[in-house]
Amino acid sequence: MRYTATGRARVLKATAPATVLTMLIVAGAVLPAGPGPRAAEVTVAVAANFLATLQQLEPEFEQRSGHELRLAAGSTGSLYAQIANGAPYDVFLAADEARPARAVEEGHAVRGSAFVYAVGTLVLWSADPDGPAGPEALDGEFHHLAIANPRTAPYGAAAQEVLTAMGRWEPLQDRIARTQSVAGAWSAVASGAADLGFVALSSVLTNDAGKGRYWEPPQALYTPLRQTAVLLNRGADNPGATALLEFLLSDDARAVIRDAGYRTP
Amino acid sequence: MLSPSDWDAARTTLLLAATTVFVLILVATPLAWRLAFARGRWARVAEAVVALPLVLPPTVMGFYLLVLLGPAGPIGSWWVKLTGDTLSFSFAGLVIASCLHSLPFAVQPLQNAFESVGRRRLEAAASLRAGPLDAFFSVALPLALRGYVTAAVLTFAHTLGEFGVMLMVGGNIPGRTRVLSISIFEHVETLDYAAAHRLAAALLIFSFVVLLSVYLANGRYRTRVA
Amino acid sequence: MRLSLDLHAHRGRFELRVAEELELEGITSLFGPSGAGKSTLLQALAGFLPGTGRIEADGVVWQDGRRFLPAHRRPVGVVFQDGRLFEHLDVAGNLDFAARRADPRGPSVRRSEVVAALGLAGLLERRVDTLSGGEAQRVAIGRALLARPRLLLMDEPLVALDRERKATILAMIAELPRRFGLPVLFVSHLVEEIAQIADRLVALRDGRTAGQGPTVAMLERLGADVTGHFEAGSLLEGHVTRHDEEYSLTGVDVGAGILWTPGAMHTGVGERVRVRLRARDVAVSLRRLEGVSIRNQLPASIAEIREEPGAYAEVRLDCGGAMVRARITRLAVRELGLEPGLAAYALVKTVAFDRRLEV
Repeated sequence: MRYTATGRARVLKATAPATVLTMLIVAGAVLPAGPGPRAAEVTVAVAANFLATLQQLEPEFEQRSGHELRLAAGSTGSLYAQIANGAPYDVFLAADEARPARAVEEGHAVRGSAFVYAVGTLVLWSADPDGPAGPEALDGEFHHLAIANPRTAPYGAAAQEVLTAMGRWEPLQDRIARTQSVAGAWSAVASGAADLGFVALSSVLTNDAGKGRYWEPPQALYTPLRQTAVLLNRGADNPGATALLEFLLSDDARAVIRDAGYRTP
Repeated sequence: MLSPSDWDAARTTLLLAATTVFVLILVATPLAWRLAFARGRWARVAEAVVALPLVLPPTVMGFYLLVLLGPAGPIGSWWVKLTGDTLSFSFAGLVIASCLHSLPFAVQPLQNAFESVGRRRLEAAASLRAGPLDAFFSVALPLALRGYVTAAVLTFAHTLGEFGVMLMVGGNIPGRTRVLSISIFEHVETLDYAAAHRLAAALLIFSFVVLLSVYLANGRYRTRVA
Repeated sequence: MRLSLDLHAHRGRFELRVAEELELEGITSLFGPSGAGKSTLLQALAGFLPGTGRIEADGVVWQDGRRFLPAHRRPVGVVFQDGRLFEHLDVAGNLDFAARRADPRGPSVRRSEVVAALGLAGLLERRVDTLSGGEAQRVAIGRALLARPRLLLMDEPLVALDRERKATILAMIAELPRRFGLPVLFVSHLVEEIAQIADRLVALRDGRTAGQGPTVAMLERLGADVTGHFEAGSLLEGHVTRHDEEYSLTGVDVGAGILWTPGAMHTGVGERVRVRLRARDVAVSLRRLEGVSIRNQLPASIAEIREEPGAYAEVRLDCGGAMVRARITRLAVRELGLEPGLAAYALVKTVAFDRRLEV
């Protein structure tokens, strides 16, 4: 029979690892880390379509500035709802202009800090390289078309605008599957669950699996996807946050952004 | 009070819950029966598999279901050949998903009920010339009724509330796969809290009324037998 | 019913091996100590144990290496130790359950007969969980009968009942073969039950049969090692000659003489009865005694004396054909000069008779 320590001895044994752990955490938080003036951590709420591109820019930024990025991705609407409820983000990289403007109006963001960091392109994509690529794809035999939820994702709203302009919105209603974000629309098509999808051009270009065919609907059919960045109140005193925003305007960054399939203003 | 799309979602949700209960009770009965009277390791393995949906994150289930039920997947492609329609993003696919998701909620109460019916009573039935099917309907089923009520109620309520799996497998198609939980979530995401409150409150009251009336009826049944 | 058995069953470490031909008529008891395999044998006969060997009944194979007739197709009824009535039905419902599925080829059994024989008339509307033990067992017997089996198996049906209930129900069971035309196989480990109603006895011990034959002879043969020392005794058959109303005694003629037993006033004169004597209640004397309270003194001749380690010896006395055992001290054997062939008397205190055996 194995005896376990009793009484005081047992209490000490149990609390020992907890005590050590606490001390380590406190030390880690207090002790300085990284080179340069106190390196900051920037929490970024980034629209789903831009996540991959931001991840590409991340190492460059961190090396240059010494600050660290923490990324939270989602549909623009979803992220905005969180921000409106006090989510701890420093910077908001949206896929539209409207929501950052609302953020400023409702007092969550710093006035005057908003700017367009990229202009997105909506494409109709099919993962099948032999499939129809132009607008006629919408007339073909397909099971499902994936779009991001128009109510929460700007790309989804754009898709709805295009379909409405083409007179296809109503007729295709029960074949249109809505995903949480435009990245979700892309994976629905990539995984084969949907035959077609309205996705961000950047998804098609930056993913190896994107070997299908795509069609760019005329820009006139939808509200331009002027993806706007804004500094949130929480990040106002964060040097890393301002550094990030400046970085996005730098030439190096803009080059990367253009390569990813966006236009820069 | 509720928008037309919300009413649609409510209708879809109720239909989904009712269909799931119907299908799942039929599927869970033989499964629970085997588990109740089986001995040995394989039965325990089967029990663990049945209990998986209890612990799996809905996103894991949703993901694998999408892979299986999508037009490229093993089950999905067979369905396309059979019906010409996909299983993913369809009501049928949603039924399958919610059946799998609520499987332990149906199987476990039934298994417990059958276990308490016990081998002895079934031996007595056999000694009175009742074959296996006869014994099931004339002895086991009446004695297991409470288990059936529990299984049905739990499955119904659980389906009403399921979100993650429904979203991934269903595709949020209005009138087809758009369920109440997704509507509520969308209202929250678009900061339309008033609508979210209305829907959420309606769902809460409805679920409570269902549960209450079932347990009241069950209680009356209980005292009659006692 | 003629049963041909060649069974081999395993229950954990217990092994049942029975190769026997049984001719079942009237009440046959399956007798043996706890753990002897009686219930296992019964379960095999009922059809609950596949893969256990060969059973053939009246030329029909119920199971062998290749085939297995499941329980619900065998013309066998079972009364279980724990009754096992269906709680979701009332008593009448339980009886109907059986009647609806009755075997059309089985002996005809009228529901009114069953209700009368088992005294179920007042119970029909009752819910099953309100019945007492005795009531529930009677319903269980009635239910089993209504399925019209050709053989009724009873697995220690009285084990949970108190003495008085046992006596009543035992009497009902004794009637079953005659009234409903089917043999009964009655399992018990209690000698009193067996002795009272069984015509034949099949002995079971450690998973194997230890002989079969008429009850009286078997009990006589089996001796203390099966019945247990305390209960060792003799079974005598006789008929009632007269009743003494004033002193509440009944005289039973057992051939060698008349045994006076208390009570039993309701038995008819001339009726055949059995009387069981416990060996420890029988004394031996060399001549008839006067001035002693012992009423019953049977002339006998000593058949055998078996001395045991310790103080006791068992003396078997031949009382005009019926064997009576007496348990006395070895010292008494020596002092009285007892030896086989000697004429003596078997003395039995009237009080010693088992009141339970009034039939």
